[in-house]
Amino acid sequence: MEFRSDLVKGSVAPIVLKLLSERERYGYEIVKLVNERTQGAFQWKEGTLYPCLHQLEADGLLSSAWREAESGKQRKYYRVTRKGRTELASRTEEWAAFSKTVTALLMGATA
Amino acid sequence: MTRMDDLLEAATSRFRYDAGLREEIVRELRAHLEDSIAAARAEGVDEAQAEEAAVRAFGDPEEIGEKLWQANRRRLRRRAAAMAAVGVVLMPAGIVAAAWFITWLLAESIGPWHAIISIAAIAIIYFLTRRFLPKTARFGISYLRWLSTAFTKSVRIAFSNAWIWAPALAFFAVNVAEELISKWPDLIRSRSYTHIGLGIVFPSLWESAHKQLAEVGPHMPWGAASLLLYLGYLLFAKRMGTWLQSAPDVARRRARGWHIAFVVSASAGVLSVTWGLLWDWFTWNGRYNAFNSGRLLISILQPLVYVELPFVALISALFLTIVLRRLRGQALSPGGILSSALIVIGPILWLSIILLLGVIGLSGLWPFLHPAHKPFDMPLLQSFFPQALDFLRVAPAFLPVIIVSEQCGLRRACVRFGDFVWRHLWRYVAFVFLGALLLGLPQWAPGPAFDSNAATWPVLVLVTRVAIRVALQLVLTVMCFEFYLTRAGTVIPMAAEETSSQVAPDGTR
Repeated sequence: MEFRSDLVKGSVAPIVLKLLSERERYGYEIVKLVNERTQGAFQWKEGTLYPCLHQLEADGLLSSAWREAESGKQRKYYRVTRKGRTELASRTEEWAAFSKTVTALLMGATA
Repeated sequence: MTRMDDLLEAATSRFRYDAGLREEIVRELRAHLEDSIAAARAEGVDEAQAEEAAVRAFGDPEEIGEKLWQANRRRLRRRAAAMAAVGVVLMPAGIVAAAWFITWLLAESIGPWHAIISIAAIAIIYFLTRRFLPKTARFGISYLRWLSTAFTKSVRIAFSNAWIWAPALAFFAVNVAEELISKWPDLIRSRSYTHIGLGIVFPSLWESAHKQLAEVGPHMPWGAASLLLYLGYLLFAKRMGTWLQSAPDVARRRARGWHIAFVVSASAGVLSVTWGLLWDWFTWNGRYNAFNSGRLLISILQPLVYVELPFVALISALFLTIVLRRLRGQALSPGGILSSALIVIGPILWLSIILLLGVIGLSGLWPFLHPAHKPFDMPLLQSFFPQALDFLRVAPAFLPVIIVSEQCGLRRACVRFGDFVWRHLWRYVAFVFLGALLLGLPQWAPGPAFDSNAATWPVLVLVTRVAIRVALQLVLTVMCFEFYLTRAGTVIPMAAEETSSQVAPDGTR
């Protein structure tokens, strides 16, 4: 099932923060990982990941460094900063509450 | 150009004024596309189809470019501001340094004919060595035009960022207040109105001005110089107001306020100095002459360019960088600290090394020029040391540059700059060193010897000599700073870069 882009849009940053909180990764790796874990449900336009990464870095939530990968190729690796981890915790909590509320509204139950 | 190149060009076209950042983004996006192509190739897809698929999967390059620009806007502004600040701070410093050095050199050893022959000698050396110089050192009228445009842009960018001008302005205000408070009783007692004007413009030159006054005589030349300075300041203030009001990041009301403040202060200076000049004119004892004006200009420039400046600036930069990194909780790696500091003072150090080598080279000829001097005996350098502390007053002006460069992480640019200098320095040194040596040779050329104690040089000769010197100084200075600005990751291109906006329709998806 493919999701509407406006639904996906708000989830990109927390997903990126979550994946990078596991370990440092580069852009292409993140895209492939998302496709793999969502079994293709999230069809990100690959290029749109980079503005998100750069914005998170500008906000101090990520840091980056060029390093040589195992293949010998130079890649820009991103990692979550301390501020980024705090932000991830906050956004995860916010997302859970939001999701619960919307589900309750759509499904007719009380929140 | 391949589809991938088209995509990268379109996605990064908005970064055309920051070649360094653009290069980094292109590198990152290219690595992604290459990974994507390699994955498709591994599945058995041919090269052209793999590239097509990678470009399509990447998305609309113009939309991505716009978002990338939005995400990096703050970074772009900081980098632009930092580089502009370096240009704004160092360009006048370089002009003053070169002006002082060559003026001193020619005034001490060379007469008007000798100056012409010296310039011819330098021109010959330049044309002989031109093909060995890197392209950026091949100066000409286009470089002067470029420098003028770059300077205008630099000032505009610098003044759109409070990080740059606010500390410098505060430092200047504190200096003015301190000087005026401490000197006011003397000024009133001596009715030295021209000194008041000069003190406001260059408070740190107060002591030097006072000593020179005793030698030069009446206040007249000081007044003339301060009036010129103020008139220049007034013109600058008017231009500044226009720049400020058209700068994208400055609030209109605030810009208008600064404009008014600039113009009012400059006008007050002009009025005050004019009044002082009139006063001195009627009380003047007749000892004024054109040569005194020349000495006056030299004495005004002199304290700004002591050879200790680079070293004081280096120490200050290192100290402040360490403090800043500590405050921000960053690691204190020696390489990081040194490179951050070097980006601020690198060009000054570089210029100073060249100038010092020139002085040392020339001092070998001193016995021929001045029989009283021993070879390599450098009274000039010795005379500077007692005044080194004056530069502690100048060093804080570098603070905003250090802050901004620290925030921008410009180490990469610094490393590039250092690498380039290492590879090309010898050419510059050889060029300037030979030039300085040859400057001494025309001492044997025909023409009257220049007597620095004489007070009877005709105005026309003086003006001609000054014009020749200034032209020579400008050429050297432009060469130095053009090199720095274009090679150290400048954000100001030589000309508007042509960028392709043509993206295949199916690639825009």
